[in-house]
Amino acid sequence: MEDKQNLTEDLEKVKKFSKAISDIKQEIRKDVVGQEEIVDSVITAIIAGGNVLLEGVPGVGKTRLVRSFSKALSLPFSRIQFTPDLMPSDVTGTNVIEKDAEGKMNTIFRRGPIFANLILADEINRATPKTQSAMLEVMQEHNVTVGDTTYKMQEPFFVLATENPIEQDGTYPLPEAQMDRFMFKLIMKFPSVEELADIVNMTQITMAENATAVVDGPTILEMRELAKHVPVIDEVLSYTMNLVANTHPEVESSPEAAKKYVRYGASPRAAQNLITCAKVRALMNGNYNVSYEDIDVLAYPVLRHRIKINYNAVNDHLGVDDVISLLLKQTKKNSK
Amino acid sequence: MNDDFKKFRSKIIAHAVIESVIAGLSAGLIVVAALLLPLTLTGITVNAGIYVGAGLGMFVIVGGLTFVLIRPTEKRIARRVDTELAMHEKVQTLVAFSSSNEPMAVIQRDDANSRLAAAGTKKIKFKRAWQCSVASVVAVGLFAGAVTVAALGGKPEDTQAADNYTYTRLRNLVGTVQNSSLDEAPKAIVLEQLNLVIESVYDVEKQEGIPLTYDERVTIVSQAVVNIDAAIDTVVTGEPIGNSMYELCVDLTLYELGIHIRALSGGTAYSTMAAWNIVLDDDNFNSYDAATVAKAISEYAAQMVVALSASSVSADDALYTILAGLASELGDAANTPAAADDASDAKAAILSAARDAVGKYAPPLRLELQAQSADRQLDWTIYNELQEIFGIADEDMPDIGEVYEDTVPGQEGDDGKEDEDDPSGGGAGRGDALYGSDSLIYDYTTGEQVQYGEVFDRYNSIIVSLINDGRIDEKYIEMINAYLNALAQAREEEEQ
Repeated sequence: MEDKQNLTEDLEKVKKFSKAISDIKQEIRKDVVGQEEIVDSVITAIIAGGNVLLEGVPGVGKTRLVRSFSKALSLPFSRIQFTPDLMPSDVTGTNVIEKDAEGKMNTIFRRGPIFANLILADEINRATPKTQSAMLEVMQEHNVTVGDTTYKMQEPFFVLATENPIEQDGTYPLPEAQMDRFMFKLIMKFPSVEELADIVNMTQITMAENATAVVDGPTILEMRELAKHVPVIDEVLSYTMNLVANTHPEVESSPEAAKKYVRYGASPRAAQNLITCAKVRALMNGNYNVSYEDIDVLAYPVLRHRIKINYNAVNDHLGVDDVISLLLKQTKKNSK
Repeated sequence: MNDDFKKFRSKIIAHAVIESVIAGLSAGLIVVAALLLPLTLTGITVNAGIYVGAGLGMFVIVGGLTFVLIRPTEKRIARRVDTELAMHEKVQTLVAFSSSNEPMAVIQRDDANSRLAAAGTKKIKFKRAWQCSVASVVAVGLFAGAVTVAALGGKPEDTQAADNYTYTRLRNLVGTVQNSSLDEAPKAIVLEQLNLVIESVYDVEKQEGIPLTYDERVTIVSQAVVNIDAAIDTVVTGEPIGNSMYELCVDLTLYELGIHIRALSGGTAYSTMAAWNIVLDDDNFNSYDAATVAKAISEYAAQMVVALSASSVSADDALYTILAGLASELGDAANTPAAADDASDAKAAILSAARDAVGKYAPPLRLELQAQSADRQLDWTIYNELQEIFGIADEDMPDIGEVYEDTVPGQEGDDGKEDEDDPSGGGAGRGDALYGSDSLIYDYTTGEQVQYGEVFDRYNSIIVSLINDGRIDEKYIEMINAYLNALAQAREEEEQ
């Protein structure tokens, strides 16, 4: 009886999940032209509980994307523009001394822009390592410690950090250990001519986002919880583990591509992220199990910022995505 | 497990069984072909059960092993269905979590089953269709080929063409015949046959051999050899005459003489005649009167006449003429005018006339038999040479008769040398009773010394038959009848 009840409830949740995804996409499309892969990946990351590093030239709609998401998800949004002079307290907030009405001096914690659900950390690589660390700590721990007090972030908490690939002068590239904290790295490409026309037409009258709230924070958390229960067969798990292990050239069984083109490979966090995101993706596509295809598609955003390619790859005109493709191919071949 | 999955499982298992059967059958057919073809080509025959056993055994082993290797477990089935129906691991998940009661697992299961039901099993094709097809075609092809070869007799024909050396040998053989003492008539036939052989195996214009299979060479040689032998038989009359004397003459001397004539042994035949001549010495017949002696000699002559007539040889034949002449003169000797008187002069005259006859005909007998022996030797020379030239096995050569030995059963083998001290003749003059009584004689049918009375009826019927057929010259009939009457009378007296 209890099982039947649980089943009925979960069936309802599954239906709700599908509807929520559909609604979110519909709302985002009101404000963002094209970039469907980016939108799907951001939704996946939000539901999976991860953060995204977005690489894209200025003006492609990164801020608009996050603002639109905040409206659709009914979640408070905050944009932090990182500059070289930005201090950690500028991000997290700080204690200030204020005189109250009675003239007494009190210490009050003024929350920083980090205290929101959806954060756009723009050009994070322009901030100093210290400020980056403060930001990344919040991303990892979902709390801020100021003095003796720890302030917890409200869930769902999602950070979309950006890097400008053009202006590299005077920047502080994120170290690899920090990069590992991002679930995905997405590349936002310049829109096509048709998409560009649509963007211009859409924003001629107003630049305001048109998305409306369709889900809320608790719903996102429910969706996150539901996705955790999507079954994964051992063969897919094994395939995923082999893929991550194969990114390491020092591993004896790693394929030729890893030994030739990779300097160092992905961390175990990559395997965790792959499976977590694959479950979400499966549900988003109306499936109730994780498939090889889910892993193959998610391999690129999960691994591209975690694998460091060597000079051989550069010499052979291979980018990191090309190397990931080779690793996928050879992992598939070995698994048969 | 859901019925929909079970349908897929049944179909895939059925496919595996069929593929295993095809693999087993193909292996079985290939094994049979692999055995049948080489054995057939090498001419080795084996029991059909061996082929059946080998084929069946390989069918079972390969079919069984194949099924063990490809047997579809539920996991394999699920993987295959996912792949062929592009189900993205739904069925594998269904199988892996089939016993889970987790709500999400149940939802997944229901979803997978509904998709399976919608898809149906039709899309599940034979996984190894082309491999099975290739294996089947190869196996059937090899098997059919092997069976066809076996049915056609298998062993490829081995052709051989005569070379120049062979041609030379054949021409030499022709020369041997031309230079031989063979009579013209049979010589012409022999030469004709040899030339036929040469034309059949060698193209003189092109100066090259004609490729012939073994069977073809056997046919050519056999025909030639048989015809050559038949031609030479027309002049080698010693065999039929000697056989006739061997079978019909009761006189031991004549019997032995028949053996030597049959063997074409001129030397031994001469010795026999010479010995008999010695036996015809006057002193040996002291206890006999002239009439008895005349009777004995007359009977001897009569037996010779009977034997000659029964031989079917033409009276014009040289050997026939010699022996007929001897018989005639012996008959005349027996009828020497003084024979009726019981005077020693009469007896001496009879014996002298007999000796003269024997002495007269012994040398020509010898010469004739030597000539015939040379002819027979030529026959065998041609036979052996042709067999050797064309490499024909003994069992494939025709049988042209046996080689007679001139060995008298029970006596030492005669080496053909003249031996005047070894009178192989017997009978009269040896101190034994003269033939025509109940003396023991050699029965050629049993090889034993028997009473003459035991074989008299048989010999009598043979002689009467020859007389009735007109094969005995009239001038001898009276003498023969007298001889037979004397034998019958002696027998009656014996019985009384």
